[in-house]
Amino acid sequence: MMGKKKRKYVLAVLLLFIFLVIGCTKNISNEKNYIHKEVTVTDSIGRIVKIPSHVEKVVVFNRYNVEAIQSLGAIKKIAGIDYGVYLDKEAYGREFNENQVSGKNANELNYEKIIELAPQVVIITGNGAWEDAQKKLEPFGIKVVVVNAYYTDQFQKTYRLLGKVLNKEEEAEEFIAYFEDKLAYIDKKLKGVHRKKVYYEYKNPGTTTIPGDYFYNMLEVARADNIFSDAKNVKISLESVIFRNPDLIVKVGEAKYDPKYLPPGDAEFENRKKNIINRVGFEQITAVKNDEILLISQYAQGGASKIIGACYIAKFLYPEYLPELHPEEIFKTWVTKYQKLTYVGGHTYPKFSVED
Amino acid sequence: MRLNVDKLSFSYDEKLILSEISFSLQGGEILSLLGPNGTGKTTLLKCINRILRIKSGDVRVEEDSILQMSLQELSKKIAYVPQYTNAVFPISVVDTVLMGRTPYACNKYSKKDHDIVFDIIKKMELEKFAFRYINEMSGGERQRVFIARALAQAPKIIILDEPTSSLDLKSQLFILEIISDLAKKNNLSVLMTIHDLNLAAMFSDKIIMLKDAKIFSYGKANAVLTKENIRIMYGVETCVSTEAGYKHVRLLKNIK
Amino acid sequence: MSKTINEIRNNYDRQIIKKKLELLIALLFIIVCGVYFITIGIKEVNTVQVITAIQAWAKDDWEIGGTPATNKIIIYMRFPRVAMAFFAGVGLSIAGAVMQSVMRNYLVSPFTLGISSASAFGASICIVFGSGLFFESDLGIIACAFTTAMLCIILVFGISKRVDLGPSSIVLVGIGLNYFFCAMTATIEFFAKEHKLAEIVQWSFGSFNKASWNEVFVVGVVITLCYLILTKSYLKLNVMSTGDDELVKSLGVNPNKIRRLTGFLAVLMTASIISFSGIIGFVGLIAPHIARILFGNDHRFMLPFAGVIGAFLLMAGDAIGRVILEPVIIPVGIIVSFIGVPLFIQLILSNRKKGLW
Repeated sequence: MMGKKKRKYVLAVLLLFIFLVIGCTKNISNEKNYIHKEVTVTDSIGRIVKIPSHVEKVVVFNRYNVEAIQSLGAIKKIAGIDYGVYLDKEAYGREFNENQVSGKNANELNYEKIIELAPQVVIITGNGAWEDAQKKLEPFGIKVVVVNAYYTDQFQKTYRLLGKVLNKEEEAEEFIAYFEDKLAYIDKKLKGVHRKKVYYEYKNPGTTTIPGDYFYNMLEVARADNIFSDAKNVKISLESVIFRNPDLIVKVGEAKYDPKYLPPGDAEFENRKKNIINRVGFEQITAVKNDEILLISQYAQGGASKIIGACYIAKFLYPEYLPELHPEEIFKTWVTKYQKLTYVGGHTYPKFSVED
Repeated sequence: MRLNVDKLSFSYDEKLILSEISFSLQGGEILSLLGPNGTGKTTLLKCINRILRIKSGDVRVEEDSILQMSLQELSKKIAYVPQYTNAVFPISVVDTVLMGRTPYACNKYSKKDHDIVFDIIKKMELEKFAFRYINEMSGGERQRVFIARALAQAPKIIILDEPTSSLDLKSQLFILEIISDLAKKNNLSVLMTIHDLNLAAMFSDKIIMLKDAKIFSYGKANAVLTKENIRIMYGVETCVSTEAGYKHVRLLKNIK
Repeated sequence: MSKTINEIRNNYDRQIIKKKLELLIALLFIIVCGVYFITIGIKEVNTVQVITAIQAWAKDDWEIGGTPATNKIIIYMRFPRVAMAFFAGVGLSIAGAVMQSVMRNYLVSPFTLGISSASAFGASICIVFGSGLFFESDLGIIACAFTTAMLCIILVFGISKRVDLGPSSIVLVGIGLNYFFCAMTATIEFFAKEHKLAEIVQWSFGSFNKASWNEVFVVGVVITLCYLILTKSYLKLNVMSTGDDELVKSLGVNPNKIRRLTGFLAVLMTASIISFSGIIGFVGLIAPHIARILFGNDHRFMLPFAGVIGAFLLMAGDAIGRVILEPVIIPVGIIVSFIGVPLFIQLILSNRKKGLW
């Protein structure tokens, strides 16, 4: 039939088109031989993994892990990163190019790319596809080590683990000592101090933190009384914020914004603050009445497994108790000494000066 | 083959549609069901080929009750042509008629199946429609195809619901002549509902008139088609005469 | 023009032979495509390397050809991925085709009846809450997915029996159920911890990233068995798709029995595919549609063609997704939606014109 014949030709053209689109393929890469001496590590979720004793190449997923490795001075060992890290070109444009992107995020790995980059170890977070990665990369001799650099209360474990994997054990101890010192100070000075009621919001309106969540421990370190510590899920109703009437509000990041090394800028911060205080009913909240609102960028808050965030929040809550805690100075040290970047201030609103 | 209907009753939602219907149909006989709309003619047909489940009574083909047979067995004995057919997915006439061989074919059609089907297509003069899609045909043309399909089932009894209602004059006669022919030659028993009293008179051996869920009149065509019966059944005044051996009904007027 | 009956018969026989030939060509084509798609990826390989890799695996000597890593990539990554795409394509399109036939509705498919989402929901319950040897195995996940999917299809069949729904209304019910099960899966996410949450969140657009030989084997066996059972019902499916229940009964076919059988098999195939690949919509809608247009409605030919078309769609979609924004991999479900959604809308419009509802 006429109609049928026509349709068969359309199909043939469609097929041709599909093949043309696919006809963009990439280059060949080389094989690598691996060193055989091994050492055993226990990773962040308790897995025992045998890795080469001299790891020269790793592929890393998750920004916290990349920053941690950078702090240990081992960024040159990172052969591949995820798409989110690649996108912050101001921070990492010098170190990483498009060809090193090994997957969209910790859950979508491009195994062929990883194999092409030929690392000895893949470092990935516990909430990522580590089980699948382990299975897929095993025939290629690539090990998978789970590192949860986003947990504040595990930061010593994290850095010692990374130190062992990357032969930066001394640097790890030095880093830990510096931050342990700050944490000890906060702990000593805030012992027995009456906790202030805080509403914490992360990125989206109504997203807070609860025990077990990634940010909870940061608030614990800052000795905040999280008004939602009894909630069963991080998504709460804005109405309940009004009822629980916090004395202070801390907001990190903003909906649809990714963490960036460069600060959001005053105009953006003002906008974010307006978005909070203009919410229906919020004018009744003590924190809004007394203008006790702190905005922090995701980049600053996340530094050093969120210890930087904890310092900012602690100082914001209890400035009179922590005269010798200077969070902006700690942040500056973090950026210049550990992240090897130029210090750009203004990651909080209201701003902290280096002396505060 | 003989069809025996014995005290068949059927109700739908508490309403009694058919009450203790009994009749029998011999091989080679043509039996027409007459009656105004809504008297349960179509329902009776559907009860006989087990599309609807009867409440009480029995239907037997020779000595076997249809209730004891499997659907597949039954479809080799009784074929059904409905009044309305629609088609969602297009299929050609040949393939439609081939479907009539489903009760006999397991996974595929045999040469015998093809022989029978093409023979029927020739007999029903469907050659020029052979590769047309049935959803592109008129209702009347489609009717012929479904009759052909029913014949492909090689049934002993064929049941038709208003086979001539959507056909033109020539086609009406054509279909009824074929059915009549098959009845005589192949000993096929035919049960059909029909509106046109004159056609019923021409082609039926026996007639049943249904009224108030019961059989009102049952017997030879010439005996049943009387002026009085028609008046009581349809509420119209007629003039009934006999010409060329059949009854001939002329409509006169409506009775208020 | 009058044709003799013999001419017609010869014409018919020729048509059948032609269809059988086309089917054979289609099968060969899909095998060639399969090999071609194995060569697609970050690393360009050619057919010779594919053969070398197979040899290396067979002899358990990865050094053959001097490229052990390439051999392994081909055998452990490309091959299972393409094989999974093949079986998923075949399974989903055949499931869609038989559902369309027994429900006499162009718009029906595993996705538009909510069965895909129901499968994902069942699988997510198993992953998050399941413990013990059975529930942590592949078969356990399929069993849970199958259970919830069966509940869904029983609901759809039940509603359509009670209420006389037109073809588009059934699909509305199905799409409503689709959202319902998606919401249920989202609720599970509230209770899932870290690692398990990550596993189930990836499901809304299917992907073959995690395909491994174990999974390919399980899915392959299921699809093959279900398809073989369906081949026994070719003629019954022809009858179902072209008449209403009364006519079907008069031909000796029990419509409810056939609906139960095809429903069961279609759900089983869908559940096993979705359990491992996530929700891939529209294949079960597009592939049968194209097969019907090109090859008619005779299930003897339409079903295998639909399978071939579905397999090609998913294999090509997966390959495109791997290459187009390289090295980020776009899930195959997204690629297929780009073709599927416009076609779905076109189907609704063209059927409205034909006055089918």
